[in-house]
Amino acid sequence: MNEKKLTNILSMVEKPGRYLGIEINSVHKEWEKTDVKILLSYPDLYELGMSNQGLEILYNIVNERNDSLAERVYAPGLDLEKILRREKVPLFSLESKHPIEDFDIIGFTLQYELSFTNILNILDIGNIPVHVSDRDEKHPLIIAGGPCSCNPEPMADFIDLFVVGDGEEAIVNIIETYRRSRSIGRDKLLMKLAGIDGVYVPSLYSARYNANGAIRDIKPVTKDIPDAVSKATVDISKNNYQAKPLVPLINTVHNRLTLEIQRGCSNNCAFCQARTYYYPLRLKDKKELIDAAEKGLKNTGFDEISLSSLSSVDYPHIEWLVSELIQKYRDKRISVSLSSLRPDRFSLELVNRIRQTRKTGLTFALESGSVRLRGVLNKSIDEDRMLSAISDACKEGWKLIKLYFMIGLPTEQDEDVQTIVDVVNKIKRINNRLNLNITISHFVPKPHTPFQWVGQENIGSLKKKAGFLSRNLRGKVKVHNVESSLLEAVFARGDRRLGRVIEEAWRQGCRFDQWREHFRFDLWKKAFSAQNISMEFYAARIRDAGEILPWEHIDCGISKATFLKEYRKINGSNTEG
Amino acid sequence: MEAIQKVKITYGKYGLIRFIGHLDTMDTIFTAARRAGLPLCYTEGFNPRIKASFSPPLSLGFSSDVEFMELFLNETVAVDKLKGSLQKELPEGMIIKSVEEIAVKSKSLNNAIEAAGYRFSFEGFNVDKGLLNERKKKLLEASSVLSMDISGDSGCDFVIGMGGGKKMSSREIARNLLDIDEDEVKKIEFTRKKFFFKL
Repeated sequence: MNEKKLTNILSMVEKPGRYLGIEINSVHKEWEKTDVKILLSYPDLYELGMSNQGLEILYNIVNERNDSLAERVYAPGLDLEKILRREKVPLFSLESKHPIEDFDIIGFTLQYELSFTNILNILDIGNIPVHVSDRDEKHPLIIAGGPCSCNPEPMADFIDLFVVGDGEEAIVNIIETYRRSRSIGRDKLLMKLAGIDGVYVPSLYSARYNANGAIRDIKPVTKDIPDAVSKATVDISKNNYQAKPLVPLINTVHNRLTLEIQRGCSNNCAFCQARTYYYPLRLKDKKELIDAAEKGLKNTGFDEISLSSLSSVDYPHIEWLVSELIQKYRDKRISVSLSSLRPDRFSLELVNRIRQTRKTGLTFALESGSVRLRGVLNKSIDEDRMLSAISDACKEGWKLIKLYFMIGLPTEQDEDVQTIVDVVNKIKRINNRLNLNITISHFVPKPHTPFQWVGQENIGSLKKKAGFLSRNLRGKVKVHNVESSLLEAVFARGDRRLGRVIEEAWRQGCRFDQWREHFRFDLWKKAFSAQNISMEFYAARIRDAGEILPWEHIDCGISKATFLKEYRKINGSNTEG
Repeated sequence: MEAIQKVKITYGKYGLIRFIGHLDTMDTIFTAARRAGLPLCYTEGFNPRIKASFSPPLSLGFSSDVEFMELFLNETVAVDKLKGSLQKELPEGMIIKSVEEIAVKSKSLNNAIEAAGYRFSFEGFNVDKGLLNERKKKLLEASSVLSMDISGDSGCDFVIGMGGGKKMSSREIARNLLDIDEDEVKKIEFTRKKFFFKL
């Protein structure tokens, strides 16, 4: 695109800083001289996408290679979309401003179900047919990875290839296979790519259904293709791709140095899909983390280090790591933050140590107020220890506590909802002046968890519970949008028939569904009824233990039998099969 | 930490970087200064900030020849060395013009600014000199525009005062002068050319 055209477009949008592509540490390689051109995309607004570490790791891996380049694109804001469509300008990459259709491979990260329509939209603004079946040799290969690829089926119509699990080695294998076989034809190329660890090519499988709507089988369409795909797992202690993180030039969700300290989780919370997706637990070497912090700070100039993982206080060397970092960087006014805390003295002491400057709130995810329900969730919290930790926190000057609860949990009764009020009251009683920010979300059953068979509670009942809590909780209460949670439940456990609904909803104008101000449940409802597909079938229906699940052929490392055992323990005699 | 040196860094903003706003520009320079390893001074309190002050906000999308920041340092650094190491860390399009040492106790230059000069080009617009002169007269009478030069064919130079007169933004001035709509004026590239200081 010529410069005049680009600056004209940038002049007309509200936040042009999203589309500049000249961030510190962005990589601009020679287009003509590079063999494989990969475009990486987080299908949401730049401010959100820039904080994603997975994409950044892949960006560095690809750009370190001589034979390939990686550039980025995020979902254009609605204002830019309007201009691009009006002026018939195809969507372009941030770095070289090449039309996205000029790339060899486009990789999307699937972080949450409600970003699916954005993927179709990005392809469409980029002049690329959204359907796998409408694309040919001249189009880029469309690939996707990330947590939602543990059930890729709802996106099977649109994605040529999924990477299930860790992407670090898979991307290298894809590049190498692509270079060897790019000229043998798209179908043959996909067959070759399907042989890579963690790669799932949905068009090489076909699904059949029973009269009752459940899946009869999902089978490869040809021989030489495995019946099931196992996710890719890498040794994270070896690689250190965090040395040159991107520094955005505008404010984003997190402008800070994120260090992944471990992957996987030592807890086994039954509702949590990340536990399976990132399984098994792998630790980064503590000395290498110090080294990564040093390099990262030097190369970014950030003033905050975030130690990130699913449960950072469970990292075995966390105390050592925090002390070292604080000691080393105190004089440079660099603060350290932890991504997730347990409500206990240990966490509090850690936070007190790092809090020397910023005194923002303490955040605890309690999930439920009920001891019994937390048992069902396999997330035990010692309430007395929690209360005494909060009491200490008050004395030490903390004034804000953020609490997270879920409603609609399996086996939940009205008494259980009341316990949320009880526990909040107990916390409030410690010190009446303590500010509480309480977030209520709705339980969404996820694939590859012991709850993958349960039905989601209906909207009416969830609304009643949320209403009760809003009226009775003493604090600032924020309730997630219940219709979003319903859709999330539909797509999390959906099958490939839902592709029609995603397309229909997108054509009706749905995008940025994760954003309250853009979410159009009315259009989604219309899309479901136009395609004659029932939301309840996917969200609310209790599955038989014997039913073939849409993700049955995707192996994420924890077996169905293991989940079933946990599920039966939870449900007692209620479970069939 | 006591500041023992204060420097005035004058820089230009050109190309794509003109599309980041005032606060983002400040943060961008701060992270660059930290990467450059400058001996920065911080404010006290829970949320320490780098001690510095900046020239008045430049509208999003504007280029500039004359932006400046006054930066406090807790060690003495040679100005040439500072210029070199900071320039290396700045994003494409932010060009340091000069670095001068100023008295540590001096008042912020910001308070002394009484007017700012801007320029935009007529490229892409049909201009009728007669009409322009008429509109220019009106603008000079009715707004905080202190002077305007449209004698050349290529564009308009004008100066806006900081106090007095009806406040008008550069874009409004261009709209009035060229009689164009909001969308058209967005395509014009403005450049801040000069600050006028009180003596």
